[in-house]
Amino acid sequence: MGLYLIKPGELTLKGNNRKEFESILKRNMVTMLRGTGASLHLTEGRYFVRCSEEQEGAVEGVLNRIIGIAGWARARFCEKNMEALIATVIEEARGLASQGYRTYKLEARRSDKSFPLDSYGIVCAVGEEIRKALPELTVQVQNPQIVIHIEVRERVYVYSLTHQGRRGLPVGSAGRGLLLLSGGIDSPVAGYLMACRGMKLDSIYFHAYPYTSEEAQRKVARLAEILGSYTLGMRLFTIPFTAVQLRIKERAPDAWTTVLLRMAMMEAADRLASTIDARALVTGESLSQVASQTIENIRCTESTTVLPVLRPLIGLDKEETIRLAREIGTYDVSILPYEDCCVLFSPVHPIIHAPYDEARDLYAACELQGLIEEAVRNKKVEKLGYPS
Amino acid sequence: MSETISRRIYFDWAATAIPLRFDPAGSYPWGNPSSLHEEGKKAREALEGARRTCAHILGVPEHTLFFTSGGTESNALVIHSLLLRPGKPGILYGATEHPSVRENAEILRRLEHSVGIIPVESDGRILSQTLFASLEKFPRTRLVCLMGVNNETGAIHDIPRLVRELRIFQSQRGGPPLHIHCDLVQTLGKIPFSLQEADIDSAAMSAHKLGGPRGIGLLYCRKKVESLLRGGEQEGGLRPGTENVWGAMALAHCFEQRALPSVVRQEHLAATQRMALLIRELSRIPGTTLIPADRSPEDPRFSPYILQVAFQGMPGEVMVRTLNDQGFAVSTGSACSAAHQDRPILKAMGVPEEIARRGIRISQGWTTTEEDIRALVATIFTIIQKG
Repeated sequence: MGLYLIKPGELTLKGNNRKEFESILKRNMVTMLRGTGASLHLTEGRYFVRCSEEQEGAVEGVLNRIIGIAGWARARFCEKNMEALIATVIEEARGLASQGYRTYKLEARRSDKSFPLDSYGIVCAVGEEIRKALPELTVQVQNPQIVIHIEVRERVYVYSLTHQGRRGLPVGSAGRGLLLLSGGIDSPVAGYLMACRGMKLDSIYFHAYPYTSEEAQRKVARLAEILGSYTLGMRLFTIPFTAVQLRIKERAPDAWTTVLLRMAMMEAADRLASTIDARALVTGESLSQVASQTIENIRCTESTTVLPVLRPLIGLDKEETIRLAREIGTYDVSILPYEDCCVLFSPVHPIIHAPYDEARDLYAACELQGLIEEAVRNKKVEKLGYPS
Repeated sequence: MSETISRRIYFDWAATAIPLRFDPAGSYPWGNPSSLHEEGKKAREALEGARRTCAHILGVPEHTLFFTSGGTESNALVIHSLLLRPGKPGILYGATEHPSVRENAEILRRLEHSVGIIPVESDGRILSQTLFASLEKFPRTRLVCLMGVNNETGAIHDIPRLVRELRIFQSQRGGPPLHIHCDLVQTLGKIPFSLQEADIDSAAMSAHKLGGPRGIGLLYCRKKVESLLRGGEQEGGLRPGTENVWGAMALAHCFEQRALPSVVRQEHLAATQRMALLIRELSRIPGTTLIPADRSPEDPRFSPYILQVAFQGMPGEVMVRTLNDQGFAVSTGSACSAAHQDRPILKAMGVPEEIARRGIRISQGWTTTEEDIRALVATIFTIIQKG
């Protein structure tokens, strides 16, 4: 049998809301573990997951994706006597030593007060045995590489938090957001970061067939699926945007097409968001990273929205974004060579610091409202990454 | 999104030909040709019969033909053989060669062999003088790769003449003998060509460009080369692995149907007329740019089966998708992105990036009709007008 111990993340800090966060986290875990046959118990602020040996891989996969936990560990358990306890801790310590850990600390908790030794007594006795059995491990109280926890309850549990959790707040605790998802590196990371603040996400993709390919659309769907595996699923709304793009190209000077297109996309996203109860738009913009992301152009693109626009990457270095993209598994998909914007709509010299009033005038002259409404009406929706 | 079109018109023969029917009489000789029993003997007979047929049609000795999995493997076998020769012999290849030559040659560069690239003219062809200069620049060259017909532009190299001049040049300067290898994948069965007259040492051929199945091809090789592939002794040890007997039979069948010199000449003539019609009709669409721009309707420098052409204001990839939705299959190698320069062949010819990005390849075959061509041009015209 596989037994896992999960330590919740920062939700422990949330005073009166704690119960609500706890129940959302629990619900998320139950949903994500569905299909693995695992059982979940909450005892004294710790979650325990039990599963069959065959499902260990699947359960560990889920634990690696749950947002809102500080860490998890494979726990060992044994009968409530010192002999068994010491043998189990040594087994755990040996495993840690073989993984390269050299300094450790023991922490014992005794919920069952009938156990003959108190916490201090347990630590002293066990420490002495580890010293004899595994001289390569040394105790370090101040800054140990790893802490071995011993909990004496109805049984004895031994674990060390070897796996970092994704932390943050459980998905669904901070309302719904609509992520503008392109095929690039940034937007999936932006979505992930907002999910880590508890936001439930849907995503919107603007498809300009035949100017963008079906491969590009499939790539975005794959990204939504990966993100969905962290956010308990995600709806991907694909908006046919060819007519809007062609209108902008027809009516606006070349240099303006990028910023006007972004304005139109924001307006379409804002319209869709209001119909799906999303409270914010989420974008992968990072200040001055590309032409449409200068502060002047961001002012223009935001002018077509009513909802707040959340930009978690705004101050992030690209390297950091790439590191996160690799970590969540979207990077390798994002770098596939299917572009989400045809060169026809990418001016060689796009306007970098768009004067606001001029942008508004040009946008109005494109008369896009009807086309945008039609595009949003003709959306296609896919449900991706939902737990089985 | 793509709509379903009941009638499809195929203009991507350079990618693969519409398959010919192949129903061998009698039961398929499924035995292993290396086995000594009756089943094995039958398979061996079928395999050697296929080789004999191909040798007869190509006019070369049977022992110079080796069945492979196709053009890429045939090219790679010869290029990689340099890795087993002492002294890190060098390779020289044309700037517009197929990736199966270019990428395999670049492996040699990584392993510190001398690798030279022969520049091409704006029509995609190599001049003798340029070839000589490249040879002088890369004196460690022992293998020269020249393609018969370019797969993207249809540019034809006059292989017999180039090879003759190259051999004379090399002997006059007292250089070592050269192995000359040709990628004939787009040549065989399309352009009148004689392996006997060409005086080349090896050549790559593929069945599926001639209506045969995928996964079978030929390597013509009159010089002994050592293969990197090891295993059994099949195909003289050059291409070990249990032989694809059915594939070899199908290849021989499509050679009989499509590669007989008389058939090639006749089809070439008809294809030339259709290509001239295509070029004339396309030239009436404003903003059309042939690649290269000076290609004439019956230009002998180019294969009448392949045309590279760019249209006004429409990236190649977009045109391909739009035509696909209208029932026409054409192709492009270009991505719809300013970030990607992935038309190395057109770049080598000096085609401006902006035109290269709009290029599409239209390639025809033996079932193409004048009516198909007129329908294609009319559709392109409508697409451009809608813009």
